Amino acid sequence: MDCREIQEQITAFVDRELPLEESARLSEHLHACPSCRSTEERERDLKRLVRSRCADVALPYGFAERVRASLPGDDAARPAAAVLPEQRTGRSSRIAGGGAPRVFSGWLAAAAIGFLAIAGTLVWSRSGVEPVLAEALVDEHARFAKGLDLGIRESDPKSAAAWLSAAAGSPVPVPDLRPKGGRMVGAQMCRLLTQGHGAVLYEVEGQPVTLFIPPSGMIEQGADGIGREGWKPVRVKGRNAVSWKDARGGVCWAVSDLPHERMREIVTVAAADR
Amino acid sequence: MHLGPLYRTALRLTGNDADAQDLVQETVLRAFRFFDSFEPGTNCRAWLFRILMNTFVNEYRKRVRGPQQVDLDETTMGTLESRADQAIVSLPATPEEVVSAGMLDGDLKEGLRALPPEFRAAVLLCDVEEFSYKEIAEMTQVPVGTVMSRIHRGRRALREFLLRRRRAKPVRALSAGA
Repeated sequence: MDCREIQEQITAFVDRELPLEESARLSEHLHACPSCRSTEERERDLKRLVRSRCADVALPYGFAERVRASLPGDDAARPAAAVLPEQRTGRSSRIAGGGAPRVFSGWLAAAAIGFLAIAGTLVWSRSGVEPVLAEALVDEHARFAKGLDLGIRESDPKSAAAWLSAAAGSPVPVPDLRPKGGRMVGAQMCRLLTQGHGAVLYEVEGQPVTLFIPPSGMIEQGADGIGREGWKPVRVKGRNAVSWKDARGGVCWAVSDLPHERMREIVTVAAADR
Repeated sequence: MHLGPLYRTALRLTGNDADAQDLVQETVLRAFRFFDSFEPGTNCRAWLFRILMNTFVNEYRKRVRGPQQVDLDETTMGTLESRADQAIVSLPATPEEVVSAGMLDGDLKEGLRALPPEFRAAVLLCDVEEFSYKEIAEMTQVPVGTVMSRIHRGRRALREFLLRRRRAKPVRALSAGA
């Protein structure tokens, strides 16, 4: 791959539109080429900037009510229920205040935001995943899934385990997922909260799956909620994640878009590895 | 409701609140009228955005296009891009550095407004609404490759605009940071 070819692909790379293999090839080039890496960072920064500056737009006061009122009356329930289904995210919640008297709308909005914040905290505490940890899991997975920042490209779990153990200064077991249809792509050390973990990228049924494995002797983090069945399925930032304790008692994590049940099969293999 | 995302996109496409409200209202009315064409189980949000884009291109732009609104064609985009390349070479700042140097929200919005509507729409649908290239291609009825090209070139032109702004306001930026 030369730089000219790379420049054309960086946009799709940043937008996660490249197939995994192409993404991995491009990532390798980025590691070796500061100029292309700088282009990639600029592209990523601009994307982030546009999103951060354009996403937060409040609906004009009373607009939602006016739109509803403009719809033909006979079938009023149809668009409300189907064409415009309720979206239960915080951002659109400000629409709900449209019909309230103006003097109360600010107060109601503040109360709604407060309620959502409390509800969010409850959801997190119930799932047992701290927001910072969830953020780290998903962000690292997203980077590895694009083939970005992999320290080693390796399909042999034993070689990857040796590489990670040397990097961590302590043994890091790397599960062999081939019996479950998983192909290893590569590995890297990464930081979850304050502790280093081995991160191993696999491809299972065409989907990237990242396993986060602590080196031996590490303090457990996020162990709450791993029940007698030995694993805990959660949703983190729109992705599926599971945590489990491996044979050493280390708390591991996996993140992917695969269904939880499929991930459970993977966990079963991984949990048995030493 | 999906009104929030529809409205913010309409606002950036049209550039003003009144036109954005008209565009969204027309979109919702059409969605209501053509509800039978919606396939249950498919992405409702993408379907609504497709109607928004159709309405914008077929009705709204024809109606409001005045002599002061000049569409930049592909050649103009080529010129913009070439200037962007030069600016990037001479001033390799990231957009975040531009922000830290005192860039105002207005600069970014102005930069977006300066893009041809097709390029602006592609960037917004991708970066803000997080639609895939395939979904954007279906919404705007162009090939996926065209979507990628519009996003790529749109971002480059936007970056060039921000860098020019930064160069035009160095004293202000420094004093703002002091």
